[in-house]
Amino acid sequence: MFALLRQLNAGGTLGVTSTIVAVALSVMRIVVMWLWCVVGGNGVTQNIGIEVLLVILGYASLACVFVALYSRFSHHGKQALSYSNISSLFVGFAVAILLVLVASSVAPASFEHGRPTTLGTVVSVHVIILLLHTLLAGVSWWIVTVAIANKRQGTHTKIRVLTTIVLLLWLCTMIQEVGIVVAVIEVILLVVASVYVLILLRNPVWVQSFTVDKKIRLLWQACFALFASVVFCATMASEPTSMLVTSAELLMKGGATLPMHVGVLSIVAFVRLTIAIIAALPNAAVVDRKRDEVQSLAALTRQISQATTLESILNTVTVYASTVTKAHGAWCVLRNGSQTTITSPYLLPLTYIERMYHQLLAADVFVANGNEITVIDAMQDHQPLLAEQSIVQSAVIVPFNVPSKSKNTQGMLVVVSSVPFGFEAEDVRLLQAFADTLSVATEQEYLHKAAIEHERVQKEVDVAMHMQRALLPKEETSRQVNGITIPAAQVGGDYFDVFRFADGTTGVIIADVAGKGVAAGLYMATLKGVVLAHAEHSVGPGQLLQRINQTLLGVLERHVYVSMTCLNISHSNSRVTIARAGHTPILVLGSTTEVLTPPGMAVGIAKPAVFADSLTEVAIEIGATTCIVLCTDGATEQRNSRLEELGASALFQQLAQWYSQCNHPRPKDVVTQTLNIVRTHGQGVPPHDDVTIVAVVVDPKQLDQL
Amino acid sequence: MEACTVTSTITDNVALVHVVGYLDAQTAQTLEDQLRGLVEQRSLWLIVDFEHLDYISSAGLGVFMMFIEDVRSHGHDILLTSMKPAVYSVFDLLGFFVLFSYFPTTEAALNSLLPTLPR
Repeated sequence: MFALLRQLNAGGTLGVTSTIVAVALSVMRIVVMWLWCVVGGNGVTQNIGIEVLLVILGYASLACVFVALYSRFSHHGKQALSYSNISSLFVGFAVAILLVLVASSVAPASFEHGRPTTLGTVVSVHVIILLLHTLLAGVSWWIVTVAIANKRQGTHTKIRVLTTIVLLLWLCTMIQEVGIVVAVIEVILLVVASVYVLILLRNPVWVQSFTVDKKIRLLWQACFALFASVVFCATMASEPTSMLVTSAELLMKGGATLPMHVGVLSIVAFVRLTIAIIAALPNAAVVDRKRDEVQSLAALTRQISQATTLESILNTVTVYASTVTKAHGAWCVLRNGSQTTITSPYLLPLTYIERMYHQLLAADVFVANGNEITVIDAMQDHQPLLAEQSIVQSAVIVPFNVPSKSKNTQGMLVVVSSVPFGFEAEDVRLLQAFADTLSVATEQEYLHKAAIEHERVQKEVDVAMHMQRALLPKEETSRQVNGITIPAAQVGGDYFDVFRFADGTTGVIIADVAGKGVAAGLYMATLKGVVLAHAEHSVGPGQLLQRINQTLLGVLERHVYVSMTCLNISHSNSRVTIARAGHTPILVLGSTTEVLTPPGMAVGIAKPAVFADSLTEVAIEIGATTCIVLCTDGATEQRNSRLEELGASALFQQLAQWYSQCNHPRPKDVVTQTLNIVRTHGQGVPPHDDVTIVAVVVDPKQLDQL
Repeated sequence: MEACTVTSTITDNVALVHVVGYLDAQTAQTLEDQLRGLVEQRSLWLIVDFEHLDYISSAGLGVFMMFIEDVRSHGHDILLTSMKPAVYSVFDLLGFFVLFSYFPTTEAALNSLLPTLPR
């Protein structure tokens, strides 16, 4: 039946149509009764045909009323049990019942042996009875679908069960004359229906979710509805000749009993609801508080996630903290080292807060940089003088962390009240939750900014790395010279180059700026310019290094120096001149193996005269093909997992051994082999300094190949 | 990461600084802070004892470069002593011994200062 109704209701016009039909049927019934009883002067039960016609018309109009109610209220089952829904149900029911009672008492009532004698009476009877049934059926329906069965399964089943019991009750009232058994069954059914209503209303948890004031209002409204139900039932029971009862009986046989039974059930329901509301009152404050806490925390989190600056986050926090704890003022204190800032005042002027804060601090009431929550329940106990001077009588101070680039800023959320013991344990706990949320939010904000900053720096370093690579000679510069630089970080302080001296001879230079990373990399870039500028005016490695030292001495920072080795290959490839400025020893692989460490101090540490005195050029005559290996200390100091250094002598020894087995390897092969030895020793341990290796092969049989 | 500890004792106007462990770019700051404290406090002779230093990097050497001029401008000096061969060779290769005086023991360094110290 419900499925059929739902289908019919799909169009949305079922309610209107059935209402019109109900009214039309009632009008027809009024006309029939007027003609038969008033004009004809007959009793209703005198003619079985008329009686059946009136019964059919009455039942049909009631059925239409029920269908109209269904189409109006069937969607209410899906509505939330909001305060306004429940409240309108209670008040609406009470007011409507009382209106029906008033209407029935003032309506024209002219009967003669149960027969209406005027048209006015006939109309009144029908209006009252239709109103009554509409009201009772509508209210019953609403109670079941909205208040009882909301958002639960089996709503329709519950309605059917209740409807069936009520219909059985009605049937019993119609056949009361059969005997005492029916009367007993009727009482039993009424009890069953009441119990069923109680079962349906066994756990009205929704009552608990309302605020205290709404619960109290709801209690009054439930009492009002209960009062109306009681008055209604009492009227129906005590005055069998009243207009209300007579009207109901004129509609159908036993028509007065059904509304009374529904009235009894509504009394049961309202008593139960009243008890439920009363029972929910004692813990109402706790429920209110919890709800406020959850709502404020959720709102705070939402606001914070939308806030862009620390100040706006703090403003939000002080507002919420003050509102939820019903405090009389709040502010935040940020301490970074010795600097203290008071910010985000709420409800109190900043100047007043500053004065008061310093008074509190001076009075040693709380520790300004503590990590613990401070609760001052009664200022009177701590500092009577302060308590008299300021409005602050109790306060809670909660610390929180604000991460920043330099140092973590310590923050404090201060919430004050103008009454002693203004904060409960729950308030303190909530403020702690606020501070935790704040710490997390500021941490997230900081990490977000730090990530952006890191990305920016990384991009700059990438640019520096590419620029530095461009400063080094291209691979395979010549068949005579090959080199490689592997920075320990993205940017390194090592440098090597191949160039021409003033006389057009080939020069090779390797340099290691003290330190590593971006700072060393910047010096390395400077170095390139200095080397190339001086090279074309210098006639030998010794002179070049002296000039470089002269230029860089005043330029480099005090603690920065550069170790270098420079060599010069003569036109005929028969002579190589080498000068070493504090650099790693030089390996010469030819007919014999030689490690050269000519005297010389690093560039940038001594005045030109001292530097020149310390520097000694060495020259080696090239008879057969010779390979000269230059490297930085990053290669010789490569360590393995046991922190053992490779060492220059071990590196040179292994390289010499390999070289003796090769037949004049190319410079690239020498570089690769050197790197292999370094890496083999390292066993996967990354180099802790920049590694640069340069190999120069000098063959007197071949002329300058650069 | 290896650690570096720096301790110092001052007798008359001679500060004896013991550098222990592993002196690289990360740990050089410790030495720098300690030496800065000594140099800025008052003018002193500095004797740096390397007996228990296992490694020194270019950044570690740079620290001595940082203060040598200040110390010498007050008529004092930085004396380096008791180096392990590995540490010695680093100083030697860079030609630092042209700039800094080296003594095999701290006693020898102190003895060299005796004529200059107030009686």
